[in-house]
Amino acid sequence: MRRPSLTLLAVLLFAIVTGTLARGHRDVGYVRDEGIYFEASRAYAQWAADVAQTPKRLFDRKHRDRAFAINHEHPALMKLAAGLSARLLARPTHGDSPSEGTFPLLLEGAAMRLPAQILAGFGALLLFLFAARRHGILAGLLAAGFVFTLPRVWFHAGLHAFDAPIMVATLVVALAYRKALASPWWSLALGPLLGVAIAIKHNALFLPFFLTLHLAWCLVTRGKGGHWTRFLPAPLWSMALLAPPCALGLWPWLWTDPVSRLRDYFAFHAQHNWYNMEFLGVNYNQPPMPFAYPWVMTWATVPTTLLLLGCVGLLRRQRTPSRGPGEDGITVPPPAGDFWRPLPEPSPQDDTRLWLILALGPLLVIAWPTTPIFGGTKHWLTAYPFLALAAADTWAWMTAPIARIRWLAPALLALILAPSTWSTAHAHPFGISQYAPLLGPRGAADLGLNRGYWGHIALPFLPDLDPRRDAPLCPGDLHPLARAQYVREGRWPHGLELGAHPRCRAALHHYEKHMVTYELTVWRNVETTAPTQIVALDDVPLAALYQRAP
Amino acid sequence: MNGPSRFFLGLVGALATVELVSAAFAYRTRVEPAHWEEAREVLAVHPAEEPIVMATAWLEPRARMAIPTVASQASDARPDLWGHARIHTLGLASRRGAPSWLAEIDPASTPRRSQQLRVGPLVLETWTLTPARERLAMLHGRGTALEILADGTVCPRRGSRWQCPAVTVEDRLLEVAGVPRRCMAVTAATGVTVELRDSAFPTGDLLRGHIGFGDFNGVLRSDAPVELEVRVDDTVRLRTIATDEEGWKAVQIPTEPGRRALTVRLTIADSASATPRPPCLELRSFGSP
Repeated sequence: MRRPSLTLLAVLLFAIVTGTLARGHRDVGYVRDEGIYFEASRAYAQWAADVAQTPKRLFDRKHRDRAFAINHEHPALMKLAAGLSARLLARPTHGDSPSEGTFPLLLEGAAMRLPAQILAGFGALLLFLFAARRHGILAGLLAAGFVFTLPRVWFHAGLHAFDAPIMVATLVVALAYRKALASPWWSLALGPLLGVAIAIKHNALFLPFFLTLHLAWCLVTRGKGGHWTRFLPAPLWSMALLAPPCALGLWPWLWTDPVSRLRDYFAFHAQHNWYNMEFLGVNYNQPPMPFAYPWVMTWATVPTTLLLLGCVGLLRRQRTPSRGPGEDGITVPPPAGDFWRPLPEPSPQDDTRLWLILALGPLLVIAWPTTPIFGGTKHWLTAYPFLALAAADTWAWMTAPIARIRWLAPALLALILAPSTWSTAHAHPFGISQYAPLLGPRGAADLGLNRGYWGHIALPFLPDLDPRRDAPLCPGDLHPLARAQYVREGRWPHGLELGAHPRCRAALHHYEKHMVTYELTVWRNVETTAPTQIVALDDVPLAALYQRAP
Repeated sequence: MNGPSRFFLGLVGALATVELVSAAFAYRTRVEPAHWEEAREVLAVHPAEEPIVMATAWLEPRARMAIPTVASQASDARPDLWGHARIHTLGLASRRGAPSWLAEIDPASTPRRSQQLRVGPLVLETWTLTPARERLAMLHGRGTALEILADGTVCPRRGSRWQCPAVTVEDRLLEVAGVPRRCMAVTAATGVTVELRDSAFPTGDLLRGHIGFGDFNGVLRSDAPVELEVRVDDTVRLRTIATDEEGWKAVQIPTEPGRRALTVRLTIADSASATPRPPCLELRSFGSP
């Protein structure tokens, strides 16, 4: 297929992913972190609007610090984009600080989620284009489908959060780095792109180490030849010199006292709170998490067929030499590298090494015994695009013998992607609780795997809550700021105030192993052990509503 | 070259087919409201004091919602299954490994299934445990017979709670190692000795109880251990240390039948924690089987 057609298909894929996320995530409740990010986004966007109106306010330290102090432990870029999106697209809001976008098309929360959803669509586009150009349309669809039919990726991709955006940003940086190995211009672009990724989430801080490791591996295996500067080439200098100012520029909180604030930032994440996480029936809330945790959870949440394709792609020894035989039948050595082009002609083997490092790296970081317990699978979503690209490589090798039977490969692709697509569609809007088909939610509950976190399940209960009967409501794991967002959007029952035990007449409860104590408090204060409503996924309770008898 | 790829192609196709079929089984609700309704009716004919054990533990919230007996038994939060001659189990038929409740019964008893009934995907079973000990008394049900002292000072009782300046003892539900338990929950400053006295506690041939620490979320606080001492007729019959890593720790003391002066002493060792988690104690007496 000609390239314009591929591009057209890629754009179509972008539109489908972004549009479906934007539409589908209307049903996904606001997660704990989003509540805080909404608040921060409004403040950041207000600052941007103030600066646009009065440019000299850019240098007003107090004004800037006041805006960016909220949630300053995370970089600002996605929150700034979300706030600006809301100023552009949000419908009128209610409450203390009502606002309305220039083109009021979406709920404020949906408008704030849109930048992340657009980035997700861009991720699908990139995966498709890259794999399709190498191995054909079906390989492209497999690469994009691998990632975006996974229920947990889909869940996170629609949120105003950083996990799916950093997954896409990591892919962008990796592909730029790949180009930079043979192109001075891409070398210059690599640093700023890494800076943007760092301005999205701290996962990007690991990228220079992973990419340097890759370069060293490739250079060492190529042996002698070339200029010594290829060992300290332009891509590395670009990341070292251009990424920091770019990241700094995109995070106004760091413009004041950057050294001290950067130190605080690193300390916050190095000594991160130890979240609770259930794994094989045990609740962990202090490191070390079992080394097996990310590996088992990856198997439990990604269909095994996809994992098999990805793993074979990562591990299969590609016999491809760097250059084919010359006219005289003698293998031509690869061209020598230098400062600007350390690997002038990257081989498929070099790519496989890159996918391997970037697929295993995030899981190894999480599995490392001293890593704080960050929680769910979202923390290694960055690995999945590279498993997907490896799967596309496997696809090309695997389907070569059936190239002549035109219908077989598309049918096989549909068969491969059907389980994960089913999984995602079925679990929506509770994809964070979904497990791969060989296990399913019931199997995961039997094994004692986490059923969810972030307290986002509230929307299904709202129609049954009557302020006259149920106020005050104890919100369980629902964050007050997430509830505040529902209020702003007019989605929260009018007059239904939140309360604290023992005053509550009704209570939400979100099922996690470490929440049992809280459920007993609910029993005691709402005076019943019988929920009036339960939200379940395939019989497995995820959240419950308790209401005091009239 | 084509050989390995053809083989792999077949493997991938077969695996994807298996996953697709698995998805059809995994991704659907199996227990419908009608099944719960029928289970409720079946269980309603049994005496309310016969324990209903969830063979599929994660179904328990749904069972509490649908079956009043399960809901009312939840507030009793039984310590184990000793002293029951008959129990009922409820779970998914497709998920029956070795029943976890076997660990909760008296090892001298032999469980025999006397009834099994399928209600859709649910399976209800009735088990007879023979021989069964007779439960004679429970410490946390003794009410006015119980006297609580903190460092020798009597703590006045109000309802199910005894209160001294630095000590609160309460008959309540507490989560211990992730499971609700009804027990005497002791909140006391470190170093204080709390004494629970019953001058005429009915005894058989065995005292059996448990001690644990409430509030699993507090594990990070590194609580100090508790020293537990049990005296029967002023003779020390048990002295042990309980730590928060031991979960719901069982203790047993052979006794002589009659009414005995029972004294239980709990001393919380010095702790670095500002708010140590409450020790949770239950003790029951049993007659011979």
